[in-house]
Amino acid sequence: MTISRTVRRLAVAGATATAVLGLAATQASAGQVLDFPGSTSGFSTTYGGTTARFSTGDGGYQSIITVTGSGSAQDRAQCSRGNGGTNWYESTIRASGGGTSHYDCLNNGTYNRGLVGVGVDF
Amino acid sequence: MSKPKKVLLWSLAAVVLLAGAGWFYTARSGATGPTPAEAAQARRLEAVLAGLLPQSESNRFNSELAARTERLIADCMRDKGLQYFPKDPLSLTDPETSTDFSSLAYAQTHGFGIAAWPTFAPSHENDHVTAALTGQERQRYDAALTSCSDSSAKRAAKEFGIAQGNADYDRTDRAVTSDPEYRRALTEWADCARKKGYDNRSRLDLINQLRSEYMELMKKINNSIPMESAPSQEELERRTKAEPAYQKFARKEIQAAVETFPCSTVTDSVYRTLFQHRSGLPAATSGSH
Repeated sequence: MTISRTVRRLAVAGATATAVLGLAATQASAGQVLDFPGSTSGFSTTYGGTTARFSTGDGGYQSIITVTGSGSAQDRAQCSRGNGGTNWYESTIRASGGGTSHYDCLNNGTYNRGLVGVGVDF
Repeated sequence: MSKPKKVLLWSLAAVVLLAGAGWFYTARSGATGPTPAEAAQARRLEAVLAGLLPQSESNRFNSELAARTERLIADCMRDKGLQYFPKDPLSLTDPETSTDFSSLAYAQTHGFGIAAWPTFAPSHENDHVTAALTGQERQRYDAALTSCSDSSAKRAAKEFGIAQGNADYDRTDRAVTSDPEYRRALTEWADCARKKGYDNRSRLDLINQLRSEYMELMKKINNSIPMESAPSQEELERRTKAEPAYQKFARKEIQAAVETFPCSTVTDSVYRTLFQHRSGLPAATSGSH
């Protein structure tokens, strides 16, 4: 890993950590999908007895949800490109029973330079 | 045996041994280098990242990558004795709100794509499969899917030259962005934007400034949603878009994207020309950096 990549990763991690402080948990009783453009971690949301708690990994590039409760869920991520453009993706991984689902905004395709939003598909 | 003959024989033996060891290492490590198809995909990705191809090609690349990954997951699950139907790529990647810097229509609708809400296609291909599973079966299924998803994503990434394409792009991008001609174009962008009321060094600087503002705004909006209100996705989106602060931001973002569009068109053209020249990729058809 190059120094510039390391610095970039730390910068992204720092920015996202700062941005999500203070987010409240939200409670969903209807609908299947919840997206939080502009938020990346540090909060949770619940639908029909299933809770998804958002966190980040891989230096802030990876969106992770930990799923607890009765159902299952998949992670969604809004990834950014070096020029500032963004694209939304959904993970194939469906998690349940304390398991995790994740989407990696690094080397995922054409948007590989940051995680700027997250969501969950229950 | 004469000394020269002995030396020759030892040399030949050493060559054979080295070649054998090299073949053994390559076979064991899988370090075979990219195939011609993978190298071609890496060049395609590099062109996409540089904006040398239209946004539709970027979306097609993402869609093909998602489709290939899904097929590999289905194969992997089948090998584990489990059923899995590949999902519609449009349920895994959203081309609708994917940022298109080359389109004035996109700028007029989504701005830079900061406040855009995703529009995925629904995905129910495997609902009937998972609905039939008991609790423990479901956990085993999910664990297998996680494993298959990770391994399939890695394999598909290799087939699509992701690491190589990104590395090649990064190298040329560094050269282009430090090129005096591009630096001049950036200065001209800043002058152009300043005349329209934007005091930023570049479009990226403007986007980063707006995104920071948006993240603070979303933090406040999310905090303001009562826990007992139980919003669905549609309700969450409706409530957020009904917030005057959100509406104000969305208007501001669109206005910034539209007003700086002519400035960015010039800078992007310079970038593409320099990138194409340095990378040897085919000339740009359309697109943006």
